[in-house]
Amino acid sequence: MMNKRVEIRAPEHHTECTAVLSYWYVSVGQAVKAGEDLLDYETEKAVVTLEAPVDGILAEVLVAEDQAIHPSMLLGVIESTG
Amino acid sequence: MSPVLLEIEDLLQKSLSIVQPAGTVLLLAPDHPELECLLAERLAERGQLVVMHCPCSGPVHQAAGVERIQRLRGVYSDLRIDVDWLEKRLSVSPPVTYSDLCAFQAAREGQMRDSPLVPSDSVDLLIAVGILRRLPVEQRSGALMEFYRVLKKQGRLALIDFVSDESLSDHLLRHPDCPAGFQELELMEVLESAKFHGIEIGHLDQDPVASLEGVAFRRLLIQAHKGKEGMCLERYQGVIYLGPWKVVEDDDGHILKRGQRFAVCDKTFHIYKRPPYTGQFVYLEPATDVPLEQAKPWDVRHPAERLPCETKGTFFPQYEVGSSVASTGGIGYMGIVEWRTVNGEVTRRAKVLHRFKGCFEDGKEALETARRAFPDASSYQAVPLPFDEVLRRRQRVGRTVACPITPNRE
Repeated sequence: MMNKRVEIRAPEHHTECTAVLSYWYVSVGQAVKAGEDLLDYETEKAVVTLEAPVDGILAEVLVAEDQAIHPSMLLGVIESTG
Repeated sequence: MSPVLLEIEDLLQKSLSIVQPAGTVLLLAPDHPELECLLAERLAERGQLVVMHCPCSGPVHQAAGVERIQRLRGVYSDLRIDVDWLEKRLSVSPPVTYSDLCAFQAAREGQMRDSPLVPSDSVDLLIAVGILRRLPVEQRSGALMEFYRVLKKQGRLALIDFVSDESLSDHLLRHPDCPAGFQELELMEVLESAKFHGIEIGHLDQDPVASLEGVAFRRLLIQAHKGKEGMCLERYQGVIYLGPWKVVEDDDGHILKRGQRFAVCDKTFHIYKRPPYTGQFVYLEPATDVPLEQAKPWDVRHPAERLPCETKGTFFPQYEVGSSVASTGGIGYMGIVEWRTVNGEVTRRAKVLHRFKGCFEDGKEALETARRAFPDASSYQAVPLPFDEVLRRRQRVGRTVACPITPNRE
């Protein structure tokens, strides 16, 4: 059975303020479980931690740490193993 | 002199010892003119005794024949208000119309802002005797914040008042015969909220001296200190708490174990060297002094222990993820945001944290920030987050926070 590719996208934010991806908690090829911390990004006032939506392997990192992100931007891909 | 003042005379003498040459002692004690004589005599030429009388707080009892006293007419709950200035203005141009009244209020605000009767950071020792119960209930906590404002950074408050054994009802708080303004523990908490540290009860009556509707009242004397604000800088200092208690917590939330080599920032190190903490620690200085101008901000990844290799200057370790953290043991909050399908399946979940503090100080702030940030989400929650966890998270991602994290007392 083919593993499902689950896209990790930045959420819609209420303003168009600058946000920067600040930390990936896992590396490409590393396993992650649903609900575990996946990445941090920083806005002007807050740090937002996105959790992994599924069990799987982090297959791709499309935005490196310290790079700016915008709403709905594709940040990475998890290959689901669930 | 009244018995209670005799009992506290020794404590007052200790308080006076902190007054620097040419320092200022502010006395608020409308019922005890004999204290003016005592303090003027003890201070002698060393400092200036300033006595404030409040025209709203009953007749003025004033010690006769005492020299070297500066007298002010003010308001105990707001030491910025200059009563003489206001009365002079009223006598010259008393408000008749509403616009006169507005102009008068604006002038009053200007006086308080531009030339406060007692300026901020100007008093070495403030002695307040029986003041709290004279004030309207709503102004009592604010008065303690005012006392804090006027004290110098290492200034001290000596508060002599009555406290109740039970929490006072609204009826008793406003009762004319009720001698107390606060219950015992409540008074401590109000002083903590006003940012005082090193709060000590120097005297508390063993037996009640009065009672009203079954509530007992005792006299107490508290000494409290100002000056725990400031940057946390790393100069590789530490302390060892000598006991007798197994574990103690200071007013910044540092939890010290008896005998532990506890790592502290430069500010805390010097606070612990001053009263009322002297005699309770051995102080660990680094082998090589780090000049203050070269000191770096406190590294949150530093464990609670001050390692001997640091004080000896032989090795400054790189701290690993998972090492113990110097948390204060308090609780903050984070926002949890969920996006769901129409069937209720969670498709995405995010945590929202304060960018600089690592957590929000209350759940409401966490919730509001999460709602504002993600108005399209399905649900929002505020979840408690222990400071230990905050520090571990920051440690893991390599971000520092100020030391120590202080619970919500701002």
